[in-house]
Amino acid sequence: MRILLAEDDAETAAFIERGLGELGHVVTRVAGGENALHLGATETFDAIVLDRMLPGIEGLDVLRRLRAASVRVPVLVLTAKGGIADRVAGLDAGADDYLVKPFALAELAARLNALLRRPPISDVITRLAVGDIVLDVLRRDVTRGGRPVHLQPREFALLDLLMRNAGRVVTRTMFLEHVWGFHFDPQTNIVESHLSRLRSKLREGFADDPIETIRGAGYRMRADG
Amino acid sequence: MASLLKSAAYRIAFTYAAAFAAAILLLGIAVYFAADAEFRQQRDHAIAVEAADLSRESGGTADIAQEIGEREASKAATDTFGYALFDRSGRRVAGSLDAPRPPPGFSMIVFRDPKEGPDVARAQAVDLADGGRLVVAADSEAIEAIDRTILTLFGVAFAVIVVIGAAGALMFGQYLRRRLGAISDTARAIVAGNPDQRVPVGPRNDEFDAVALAINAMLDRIAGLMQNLQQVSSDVAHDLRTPLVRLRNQLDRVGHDDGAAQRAIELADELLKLFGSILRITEVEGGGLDQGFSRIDLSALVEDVGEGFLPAIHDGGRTLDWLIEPAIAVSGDRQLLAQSIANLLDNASVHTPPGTAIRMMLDADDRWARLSVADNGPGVAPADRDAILQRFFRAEASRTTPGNGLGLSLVAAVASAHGGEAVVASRAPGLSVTMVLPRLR
Repeated sequence: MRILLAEDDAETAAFIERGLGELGHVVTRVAGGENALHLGATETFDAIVLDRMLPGIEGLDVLRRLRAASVRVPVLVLTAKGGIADRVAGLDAGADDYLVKPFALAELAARLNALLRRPPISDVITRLAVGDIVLDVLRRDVTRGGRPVHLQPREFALLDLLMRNAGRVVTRTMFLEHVWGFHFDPQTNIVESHLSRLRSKLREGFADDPIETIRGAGYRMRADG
Repeated sequence: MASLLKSAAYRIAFTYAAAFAAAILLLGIAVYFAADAEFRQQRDHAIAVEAADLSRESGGTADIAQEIGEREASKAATDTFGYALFDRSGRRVAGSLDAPRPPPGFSMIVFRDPKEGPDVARAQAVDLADGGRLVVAADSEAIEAIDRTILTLFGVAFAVIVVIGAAGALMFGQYLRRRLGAISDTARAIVAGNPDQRVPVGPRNDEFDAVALAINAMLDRIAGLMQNLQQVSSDVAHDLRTPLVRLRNQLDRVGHDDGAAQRAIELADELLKLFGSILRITEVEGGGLDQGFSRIDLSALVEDVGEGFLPAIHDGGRTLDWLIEPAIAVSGDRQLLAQSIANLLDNASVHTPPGTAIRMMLDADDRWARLSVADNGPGVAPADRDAILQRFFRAEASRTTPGNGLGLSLVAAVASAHGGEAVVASRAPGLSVTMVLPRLR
């Protein structure tokens, strides 16, 4: 995947570039807002990672101008500001995701992966199938191997997120944001408790666990179920 | 005077006094001219009536002369009018008005007053049928006396107004300067390094008192923010030392112990999370968040967060139940309220032993919504009850449990940012923390 990285801090940029490079992405690095705008508008990337504080044109301005120029590439905004209003400003400017510094590289990689595979908005998925697990979004029911699995609403939402990202890591904070709507991390292990219930319900009567724990990163649904 | 006029207070007061004086002056001039003209008209009318009355005497000049004699003989008439009757040749044949024959019609004449010498009078000369001319005159002195009285009255009134106005202006100006001076004195004292100074507030609750109250409220707010800033700085300095020392020690073990690097990263992450919490509390305490507030269905939110926590709390061996009054709304920030509820639940489950029952209650009266999270765990020492809302406070008993002592501080900050407060109460046994928030109707 080709990724445009606009980050003015050389050390952070090198760290991200090396990390994403190891995961097989091709990273083009720019340090200023003008370059980011120019490259973003003229070349084709699969995703743009944009720092908010860029010299020259400010990050959100770059984003707004790209969106005004009909550039639809998924954009992940990085920021040192974790303020309550800042996230809203970022999403309003047209960001697809928003990550507050400091972050673990695994978190950035997982979120980028989720963005890269995100289907076009017009393409509404009503049925997900991974391996022998089938999730019907509209009827809100789940079967494994044809047998119904009864899930609580949050367990259903967790499974939905995992299946949409099958084969890719979903982090704890991604679960918190998507399933709970929390932009903070509670001390209580609410993600783990829900996941363990979901896993035991999916495993009932089966030998294998379709969900893997990726240490230090998050959880992953095996692409083959 | 120049320095007095530099003061807006004096300028306003003097302008008012001058405006009043000018109004009195204008009024005086108008009254003077109007009264003068009216009196002169009345006098001419009286002369004309008298002249007509006399000239109507049927017997001609002789009768008129007789009548004049009669009228002059009666003292009352001569005080008002003077008479002269001239024959065809211009010789005065009757009347004591000692003046040359005036032309017909109204004119001013000079006559010789037997006592005062030459004097001015208003006269009407009427030509009679037989060629004679009747002159009736009235002295101008009465009108002039009235005019002088009017002028004197208004002159005195003007002088009094000017004096009162000037004195009033000085007093008013001084009053304004004194009231405003109290405010600027306070400001100067604060600049000079006395931040506890406040503007004195009078008992009358007037505009100045309202300004003083507003300024004092502003100063209190600024002082609160300053204190907050100092508190944060000293908290950070004191409380970050321990985790930093632990991080340093772990880094020291890298290369000697397996997993030391991983533990160092975890410690660094904890530190970063701690900074995030401090920043969040500072942001909330900084105020101004209410611009982003919207109507939040607190009943739904509390239940939602509770359901999200239920499995994890059960997994920890505790129980959670709730009693939520439906349809209680507040004006607020969803994330902050959700995080506060989460922190209350975190607090109730982290600091209690397994087996503890946690209960969440949401109820409301007309004005306030009350969300409390109570447990039947060990509670806190009475001395620590209020302190647990403060930043970095960790009760002795919880030194070893995870957490950074910021959870309930955020709850308190969020409650206060929403116009409410957080209240800690001891139960027997256990602890309850209540967020009191203004209810939205």
